[in-house]
Amino acid sequence: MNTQPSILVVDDELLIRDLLYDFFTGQGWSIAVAGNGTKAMQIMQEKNIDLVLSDIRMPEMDGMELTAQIQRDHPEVPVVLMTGYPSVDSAIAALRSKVADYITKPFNINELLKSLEAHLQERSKGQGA
Amino acid sequence: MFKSSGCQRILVAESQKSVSREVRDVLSQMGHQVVVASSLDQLMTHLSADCYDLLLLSDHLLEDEAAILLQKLNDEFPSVSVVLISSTPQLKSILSALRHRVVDYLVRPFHLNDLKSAVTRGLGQAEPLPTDQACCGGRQSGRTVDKTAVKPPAI
Repeated sequence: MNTQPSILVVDDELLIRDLLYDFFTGQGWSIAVAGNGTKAMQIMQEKNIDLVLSDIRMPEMDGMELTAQIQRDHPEVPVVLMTGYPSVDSAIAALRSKVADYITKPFNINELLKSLEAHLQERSKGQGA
Repeated sequence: MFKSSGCQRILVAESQKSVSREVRDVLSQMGHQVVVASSLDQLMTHLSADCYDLLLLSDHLLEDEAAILLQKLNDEFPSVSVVLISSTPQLKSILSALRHRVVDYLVRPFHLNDLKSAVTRGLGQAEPLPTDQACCGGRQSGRTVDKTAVKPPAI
């Protein structure tokens, strides 16, 4: 991982994308954004992404399907899912998909930051091993 | 003391004897070595004394201590995959399980096929040792291959 983490934020809500872009850019991170899973997979092909933060409910390709594709094509990249519609079923599906975390909206941005930092650190350790 | 992975053994931690007996029978028929613990003390005793690849952990045993126990399992027995079985699934407990790398979360009542899938998932994450290094005698070669047609009653 570079010293400056590279994060891909995937959400169909422009407001959320902008909020997260501004916040993580302010942390000195490199941020790419996508409005759906299809666009996200294109970005994954083009850039070195350290972690994907994705909404679950999105048009075209939802967050669960995106997770499956990332795990198939980029298994080293952790995926953190977020949702405004948390449920027992989707949380169990996320657990079975081995996502790094499942964040419910509305979220505390500092807790989200803490979670991402922990998973970036873990990925960094894994690559160093 | 054995703590390495690859032994293809399953520890079932369940306080309800009728349930643990049924689960043990099903998993034994699948060719797995199965040990039952009916309390938290027994669970920790078994884990400390012998090696296991998979722990089927019932929330009947956990009460409010799930996160603490899962953290302890992560710290002290990282090679043991954990499947949680719950009668009262709640988002909070599922997210705690996810964050403690639990490999599956079964909700009662579940079907035998769900149990088998969870076991397959859990054992799929265990790193098998070469047969000449298997640390528990009598290691079964068949992991989860089940050629018998089992009706899927709910457990």
